[in-house]
Amino acid sequence: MVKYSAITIIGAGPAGQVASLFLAKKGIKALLVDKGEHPRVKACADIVGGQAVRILHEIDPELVMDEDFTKQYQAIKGTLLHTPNGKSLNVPFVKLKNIEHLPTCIAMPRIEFDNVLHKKIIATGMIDYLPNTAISNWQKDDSTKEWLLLDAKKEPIIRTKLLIIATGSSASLPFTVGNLEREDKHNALGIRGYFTNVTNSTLPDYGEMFFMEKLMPGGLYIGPFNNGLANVNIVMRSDIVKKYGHNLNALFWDAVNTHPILKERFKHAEQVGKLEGCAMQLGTKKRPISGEGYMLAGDAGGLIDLISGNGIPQAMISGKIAAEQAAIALAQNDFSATMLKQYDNKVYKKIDNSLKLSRLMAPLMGSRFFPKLILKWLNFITTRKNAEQQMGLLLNTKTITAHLLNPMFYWKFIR
Amino acid sequence: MSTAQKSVVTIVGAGPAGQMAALFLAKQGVASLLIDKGAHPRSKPCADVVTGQAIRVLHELDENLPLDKAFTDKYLRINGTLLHTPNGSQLDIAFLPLNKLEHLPTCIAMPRADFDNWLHEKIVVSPLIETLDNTAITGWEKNTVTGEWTLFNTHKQAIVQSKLLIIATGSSASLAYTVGNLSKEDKHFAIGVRGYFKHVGNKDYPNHAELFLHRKMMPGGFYIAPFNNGVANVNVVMRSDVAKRNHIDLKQLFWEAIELHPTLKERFKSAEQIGKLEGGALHLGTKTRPISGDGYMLAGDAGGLIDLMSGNGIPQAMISGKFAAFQAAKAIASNDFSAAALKAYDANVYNKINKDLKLGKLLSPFMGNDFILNRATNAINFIATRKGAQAQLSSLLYTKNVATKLINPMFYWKMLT
Repeated sequence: MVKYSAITIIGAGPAGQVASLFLAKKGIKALLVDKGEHPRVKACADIVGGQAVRILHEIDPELVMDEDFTKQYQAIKGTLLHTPNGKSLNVPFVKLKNIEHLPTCIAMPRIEFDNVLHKKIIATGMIDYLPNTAISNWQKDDSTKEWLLLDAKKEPIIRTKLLIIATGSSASLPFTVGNLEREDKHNALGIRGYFTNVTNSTLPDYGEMFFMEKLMPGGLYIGPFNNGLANVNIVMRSDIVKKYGHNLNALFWDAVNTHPILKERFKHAEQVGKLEGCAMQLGTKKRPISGEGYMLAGDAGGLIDLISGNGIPQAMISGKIAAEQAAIALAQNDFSATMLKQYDNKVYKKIDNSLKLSRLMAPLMGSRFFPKLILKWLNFITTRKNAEQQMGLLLNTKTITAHLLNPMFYWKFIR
Repeated sequence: MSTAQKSVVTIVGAGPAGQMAALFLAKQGVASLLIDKGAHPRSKPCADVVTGQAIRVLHELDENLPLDKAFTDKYLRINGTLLHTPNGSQLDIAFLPLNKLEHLPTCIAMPRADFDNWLHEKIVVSPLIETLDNTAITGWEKNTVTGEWTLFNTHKQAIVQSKLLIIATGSSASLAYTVGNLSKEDKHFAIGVRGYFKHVGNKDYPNHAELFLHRKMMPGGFYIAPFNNGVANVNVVMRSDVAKRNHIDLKQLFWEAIELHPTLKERFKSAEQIGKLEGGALHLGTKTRPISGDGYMLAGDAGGLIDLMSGNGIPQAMISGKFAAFQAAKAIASNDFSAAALKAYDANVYNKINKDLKLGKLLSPFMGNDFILNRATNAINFIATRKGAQAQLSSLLYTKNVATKLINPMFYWKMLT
């Protein structure tokens, strides 16, 4: 039997989950379809940045304070940048405005994080959740403009007016319905492993970024959990991986085994499970993320930040805005591309601050020379006393470009 | 019981207040469940007069709505009120055009069965409004931890669980009293009867409503509102305390008035009644009551917002329905359905409608007093003989500063000159 739902959300990761929860908040029942079933693993840096915490708070202020949640995460207070010269810069996060009592950033395995949202979805009793259902294909009725979604056996299962596609970037829908394209320079590859006994961090509640020439543009990141486990990952742009013929697995182990600091830190480390890889569509290009009858949310829209590697805040922000736009579209019974175009504007307006630096740097990152210059510069500023403060400004500010274009910014750095 | 459905906002009562709440919520992209004990089309004893503030709300919802043919075909434009004084003279109090909406009628008459049903047609096509007809809500529970309401039907079955209730049941359902603070106080309460009649129209004033004043019906009057099909709504409204004190049977008074009033008798000579007289109770807005609390808002008659002077309830119902929808959307956005969060609703509603209710509130304490009523009867008879009276009375009904006007000696002077 074909099920009807005015709004159908495909993919129950943070983007799709947030979209369904914000619709439910407004009393709008949506159908949430997922190819798998929670709890389920997802290869990710497992870092949930500040704007994501804010969205959780908006969904339900009690959710963020709930023990089920707080017991499972490690609050992350900042980033320790390890430069190739063996020195480091400590860049603390600033508190979230108006919700200073909440952590700016948390580390929590995605399997747990997604499951917290999943439990909330079940508890609302207002979201029609359809697990273990992969959408393999679709048809669109030219006259009614309704979508017909087909399951893995090519059987029609869902009729809907509005699709929120939140499948991540490995499913076919963002490419066949939306305009997502695979372009190596706007795509990155990542691998992550879980380790215990990664020892001797000077700041146990900091994420750590290790810069080294071999991994540029990018680096090795360690995100500590609250159970002695840490997520260790590297991310690299696809065009660079291809250009140099890199093998990410080999790079990962090479970094861990040869970097003077990492070598020490990983002496007693034990790997839990194996390395897992994933592909990421970077927000280094502004793509259309909606069209007639659909919106792309989260990774399906290619919104990942090249600099921080963050995707969860953008996923949740776009999920929320997709829900708001869906409510307006539903209220006016208008699912045209023009109506939904507002979604693009609202999403980009909201996340542009974090993506701006990425977009700015992206063209330079593929060159042989520029990444080396950055490393030299990082090495140099570790010797200056204002560097940490200035880096904090750069990473926490809303006006990145203004800073970067201002000569005083660099002067204050090196003074 | 797990069969109860969940709805963030539940609106109880699908009259104009509840309907406006649902439509304004939908306009903001918020879904709601709209429950009614009956099913449209259904009749409701009412004066069937929809005045300018109500038209304004329709326009605010959708500027094309007041121009909808399904609406315009069914109403008669009312251009003013013809006031028949106890001694048989008359004053024509013309309505002013609606500011900035001059293309729309200031007032219309249309049977409530048709008006409510027209709005119902807009509701059923909205994907954001779910309707549940023929479902009377007779009980409720509020979870002390989550604050969530559970509503029960007459069979004590749980129907719905909700974070926020908009109670728009009118003033005869129990919810307004058991959830809200509405109480029956005779001096802030009126009773009315209405009948439908043919052949009572005023040939000289086909687009006027008429108010017949007579000492016996004070405080209140005998009101005729003509429809566009030759039928007219004829009704009498009187304050409960006065009716009780004088042992008045309103239905009896209705027929008596026709005999007593010099002009009425003539007009009802060839009148033909359709159906029978029906009665209704009206909660007057002569008292400012709290109209919200923890997890609920009262809208329309359930909030006791009827104007003593005009007998109008529909504009207040629609205005309060609109504000309830705005407040609900805010509460949802901030996850806060507490009494404190909803309190702004009271202020918004009273701020908007106080202009209409002020005169009623001001005069209310005097209205139960026979001496004053005698003087008022004489005064009305007297001012009808003065040429400034029509303009001054009209200005009184339209001003935003009723109190200022009434204490200004110039007001009375102009009336007499």
